[in-house]
This record gives sequence, structure tokens and C-alpha cells, in this order.
Amino acid sequence: MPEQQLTRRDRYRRRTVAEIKEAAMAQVRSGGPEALSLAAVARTMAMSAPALYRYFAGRDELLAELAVDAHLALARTLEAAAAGATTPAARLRAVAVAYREWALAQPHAYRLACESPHGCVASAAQRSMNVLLDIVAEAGAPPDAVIPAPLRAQLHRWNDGAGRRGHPAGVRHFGLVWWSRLHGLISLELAQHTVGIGIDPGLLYRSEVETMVDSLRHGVTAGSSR
Amino acid sequence: MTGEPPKPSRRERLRAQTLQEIEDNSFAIIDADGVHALSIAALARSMAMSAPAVYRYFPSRDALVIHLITLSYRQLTDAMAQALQGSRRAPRARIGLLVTAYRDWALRHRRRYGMLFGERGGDLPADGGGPTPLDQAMALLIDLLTAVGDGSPADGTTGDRVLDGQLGKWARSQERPDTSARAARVALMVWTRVHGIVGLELTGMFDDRGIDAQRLIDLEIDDAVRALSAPA
Repeated sequence: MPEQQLTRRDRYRRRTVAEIKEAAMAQVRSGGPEALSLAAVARTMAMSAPALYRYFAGRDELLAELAVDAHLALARTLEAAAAGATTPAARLRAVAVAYREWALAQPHAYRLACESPHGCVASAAQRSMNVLLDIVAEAGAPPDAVIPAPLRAQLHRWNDGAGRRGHPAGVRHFGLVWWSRLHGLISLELAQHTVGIGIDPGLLYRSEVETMVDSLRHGVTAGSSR
Repeated sequence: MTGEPPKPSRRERLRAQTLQEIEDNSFAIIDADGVHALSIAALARSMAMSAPAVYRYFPSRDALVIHLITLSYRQLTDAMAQALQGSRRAPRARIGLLVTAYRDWALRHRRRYGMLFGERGGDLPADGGGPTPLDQAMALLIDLLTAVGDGSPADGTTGDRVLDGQLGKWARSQERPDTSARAARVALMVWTRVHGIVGLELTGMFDDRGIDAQRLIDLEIDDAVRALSAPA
């Protein structure tokens, strides 16, 4: 609803919620989701803790809302990156680069969205996933047939979100795998593991992205090694 | 170990016992709330001990956490090594056993897994880049991949010379100097991919979607193994 149609009271409430989230997100950005304290948020806002609880039932509820915001910010970044490239392969690379840059620029927000149970909000995560799914679908779906039947059935049941056309299992599989590969690399990079073993995380990332560009051409599950 | 260790004195026995209690109680705190909830004060409270008494065992919280990280790596690595014990199956199947043991450990000890591979951005001390017990598990994986890739016509490079150099150095540090850059790359690929899936699984991200993570992992290993023989 536009601001001017709201009552004065609702406008005030809306602004207070935004302010609370901003103060809370600042805490998460500097110390991670674990560092968030409602008492500290109330202090920075010169509010009493009980007053703050009138807006959020508790820490978990606030963290879940912040995680949704983080997912949406990430999704907007990925959408912009995809729109700026012209071929599926170029889009795949651009989105992968944007995903990593976003995560490295705000590691704690990334952890909140993708590494904490608070971030597990299917509808929020789905928007980023849809960026990936659209690119894969545009490139030409990898064949469903090479995915084992039980997994294919699970992928069929997966809901892409309201108003979205259902993608074939091959597209969803590629999208999921794409996400989990990038996530695995970034999560280990953020935790200093890649650097810890003397490997440049940027090179490792690029190498995996190129592997994916190749499989986008050939179908990620094509062939069998057994 | 070499030779028969001398019999410990009563004092040493008590000290070992207290150390064990510190470890158990610390893990109880971590398993319940995560490593960020572990402080010397909280630990001392849970043991009905004074904080200064705990400091006689660990000079700081960081020292305690590093000790617990090392222990956890060892538990994970032992679970992986045990999964392979006595198996005469083909190398690809043994890679599956190794990875399944890794995932099972992560699901059973989600908070400890988070301490090892997540939560590092905050207040946790870094490993310092030194060897960890996980290296032993990576060496097992490298050996299996080398066995799978044996006789493959593909050359051993990844197509990126800088990365090849870093991978070669890493393989030497795992005491696997004859490993091709390609095999080392695939070993890391298996790890980063499995970590990505297990990490998302631990957040509950697959629950809503009804996806069985183990099946995703199987396909990912197959795909990584194929990269052993694909043209660079």
C-alpha cells in the first residue's frame, strides 16, 4: 500500500520496523547472525526492549525477515547480471561472477541467507533460483532421461513458485546443481579453507564455472561413468 | 606409538579426566547452540568449576576452540577412514562410501560441521593454514580418484597453468607428489560440491522441495569422475 493511504499509526509502525531491520542488519553485517542481540538493537534505537518485542516476537523472527531481505537483494543482483549479458553462456558467467561478488562483499548477510536455518525461506530463495532456471531453459534443457527416476520424480514435484511455468526435471536439476556448486565454493572460500590449502579461490571458482558452461552445452548429466 | 608408555601418576590421571570432561561439556554446548555459545564462563558453569580452574587447561577460549576443531576434524576423518575399512569394492564405489560417511557425520553433528566449515567469518580463530586431520581424508580421496582415472588417455592438466601449479603444490603437501593436477582438481571438486549440497541440506533448503540430497551427490560424483578423462 502506498504511504499516503496508510493511517498515521501504520506509517509510524512501518518506519519503525524498517529502522529495526536496518539496525539489526548492521549488527549481522559486522558480527554474523550469532551476534544479533535484540537488547542491543533496542539500545541503538533508544527504545526499550519490551517495546521492540511489539514489532518482532523474537530474535528468530527478526533473523528470518532479514534473511528474506538478503535473498531478495541477492536475487536483484543476479537478475541485473543476467539482463546485462546476451547469450546463455555469457549470462551463466555473469550471474556466477555477480553471485560471488555479492557474497564476498557481505559475507555475513550471505551466511544468514544461505548457511543458517533462518535463510531457509523457499519463496525468497526461489527468486534467485529462477534466474538460474531461466538461463538453463533458454540454453536448451538437458535431457531428463539421464536423471535416475526417483530424483526425477522429486524434481517434478518441486514447485517453482506462484505463476511460474513448470520447468522440466533436467532444468531444475541443473539449476540446483549450479547453486550447490557455487555455494560450496563460496562457503569454503568465506571460511578461508581454499586459501588455507594454498589454492586461489577465484581460479577454482572460474574453473568450476567453465565446467558448467561446458555442461550447459552438453547436458550436465549426459553420459555415464559406470 | 612407540614402546610402552610409563604408567600415569594419579595427578596425571585426574588431569586427563578433567580434560575429557572439558571436551565433553564443550561439545554439549556446541551441539546445542553452536560454537558461538561456547565461552570459558559458560563451560565452567556447566561443569560446576571455576573459570580460573578451566584456564589452567586452556589459556584462552581460542586455544580451547582450536583444540575442539582439531578433535572434530579427527572424528570426521576417522569416520571416513572407517567406512573404507575392509572394503574390496571398486574405487568409484569406495568414493561413494567415503562421501556418505562425510555426509552422515555432518548430519549427525551439524553444529560441529558448522564450526569446521561455516561460522568462520565471526569470532573463530582460523586454522592457520597448517595441515589438518582432514588432509588424511583428502589423501584417501586422491588415491581413489587416481585409481579411477588410471589408464585414462586425458592429459593431467586442468587447462589453467597457475591453478595447475597450486594444485601440484597442494598434492605434494598431501604427500601425493605424483598426483596429476587434474586428479587434484577433481578431488577438490568432489569436496566443494559435496560441501555445497550438504551445506544447503543442513539449512533445510531441500526439505521444502522434497529433494533427496544423497541422489544429487551421487550424480555430482559421477560428473566429477567423468572430468578425470574429459579433454582439458
